[in-house]
Order: sequence, then C-alpha cells, then structure tokens
Amino acid sequence: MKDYSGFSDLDLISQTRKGDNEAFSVLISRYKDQVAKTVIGMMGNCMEADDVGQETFIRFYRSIDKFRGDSALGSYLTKIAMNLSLNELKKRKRNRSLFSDNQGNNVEIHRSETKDHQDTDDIQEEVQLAIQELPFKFRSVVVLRMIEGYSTKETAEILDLPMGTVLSRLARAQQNLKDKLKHLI
Amino acid sequence: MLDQHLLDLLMRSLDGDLDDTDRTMLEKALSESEEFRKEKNKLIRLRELVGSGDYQFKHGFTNRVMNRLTKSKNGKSIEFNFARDLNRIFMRVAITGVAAIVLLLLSIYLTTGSVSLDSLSGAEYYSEDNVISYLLIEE
Repeated sequence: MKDYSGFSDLDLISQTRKGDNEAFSVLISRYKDQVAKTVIGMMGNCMEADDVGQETFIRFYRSIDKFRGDSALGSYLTKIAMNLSLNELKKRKRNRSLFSDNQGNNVEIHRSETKDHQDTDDIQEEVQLAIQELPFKFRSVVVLRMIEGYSTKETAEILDLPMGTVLSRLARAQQNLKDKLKHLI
Repeated sequence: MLDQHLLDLLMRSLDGDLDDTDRTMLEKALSESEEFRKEKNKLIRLRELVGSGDYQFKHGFTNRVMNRLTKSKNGKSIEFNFARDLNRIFMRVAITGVAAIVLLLLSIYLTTGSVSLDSLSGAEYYSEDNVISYLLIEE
C-alpha cells in the first residue's frame, strides 16, 4: 500500500479525482471519527447511524469535483452528516407518528459485556439518552459545540444560523441537560 | 436562588461571547458567591460528560464505505454499458434502414426515370381509360 501520511486533504482529494480509491479510503480513516460524533450524537448509537455515516462519505465521493476547498474538509463533511442525520430523524419521526403505538425511543446502545466498565457505560448511556431527548434544533447545537468542539461561530456557519440563535439554543439545551443529568454532575 | 441573567452570562461565558461589562459582572458574582462557583463547576462537568461519550462507528467502517462505493460504481457502469449497447444497436438498425430506403429510391429512379408519388405507387403505368376499362370488365 502506498504511503499517504505526508498527503494533505487536498492532495488526497486530487488523487481521488484521478481514480485513486486508496487515497479516498485514507480520507475516510481521517474523518470517520469526526463524522461519527455528528451522526451518533444526533441519532444515538444505532444501525441507521452507521448507514448515515457511510452515506455521508458516498455523497462526498460523488460530488468530490464540486469541493473547492473554501471550507475545511471536516466542516464540509460535518455539514453533510448533519443534514443527512436530520433528514433521517425526520423520516423516523414521520414513521413513528404513522405507527403511533411505537412511541419508544429507538436508541440502541451497545453495552459492554465487561463488568468493570458497567458504571461508565451506564453514565454514557444516560447522557446519550438525555441528548436524544432534546428537540432536533437544540440537539444539533449541542452536538457541534459540546461534542465536536466547534466554536459558536463555526457552529453557526455549519447550521446556517445567526450567532445569537446558536447561543440561545445552547443555553436552553444546557439548562435542559443540567436538569436531566443533575444526579451525575 | 441564583439570578437568571447571571446564569445566562455564565453559560455564555463558556462559549466565549461576553463583552467587558458582562465579564466584569460575572467575575464579581463568581468571587462573591460560593453557590455560583458550584454552578459553574456543574456546567463544566456537564460539558465534560457530554463530550466524553463513545462516539465511534463499529470496526471496519472504512471497508464498508469502500465496498458500497465499489458496488455502486459497478452498478453504474453496467447501466452505462447497457445504454451504450442499446444506442449502438439502434444506430445500426437506423443506418441499415436508411441504406435500404436509398437503394429502393435509386432502383425506382433507374426503372421509371423519376421518384414521384405516382412512380412510387406504380400508378403511372395506368391511364384513365385503362382504369375505367378494368373496372367495366365483367366476369
């Protein structure tokens, strides 16, 4: 396998455009964790999250010629992942309202079998559930600002929102989380 | 009971969005109130909790994406080849058809000396009298 460690993102994109699929797989390896934070943060750790993550990279691959490098690749992928996650969540919500007896949260948490990690897993599960219970508009700012670590300005740019809106949504989301997770903090 | 405005300022301070007046007000509140300092620590702890979750795809994610890409690329090329082959077949049929029509017209022209509608239908061989006499023949 060719050594791509010295390649920048733009180099890898250029290689991919020439038909070098290995270069694209290096890009996936570089950004999969970042995309995972967006998708799993928004949808929970479920099968659909993996599909949406895959779809994010496939969409990027198909439109790779349109990527001009004006924004960082990470932000570009995060934006695709966020839009796809929101679409999937809206679809899920529609399906749930069609089959109204299925009101339960579809979050599927992968529990560790090891007893030593039980407490940590329980806490993580509780935190994830609290995030999943937030309305989409609050959840998206929490995921970008508090999980991905984007600045409020970057969060506003990714979500196409004014800074003030991001800040007020963050404040309300934090208040909500603080109330739900008060026994953990 | 903590002042709501100060709590809002505290939340906003974690996102680095305070002007000098608000920052001074917040620092004063923090230095004066133990409860407020605890509240700040709670918010920091909350952010740590939210940020420390396990947000990773299952093992083999890169391969799964590459497999899907390969499959969709193959699918695309099959569709593309099918369309191209269909085009080629129609092209051949069209060329053969046009050649046959040209040959037919040429043979009519060579036989009759023109390619008018009458020569194409063969009506020019018959005069009006001939047609009438044909129609009047009794069996």
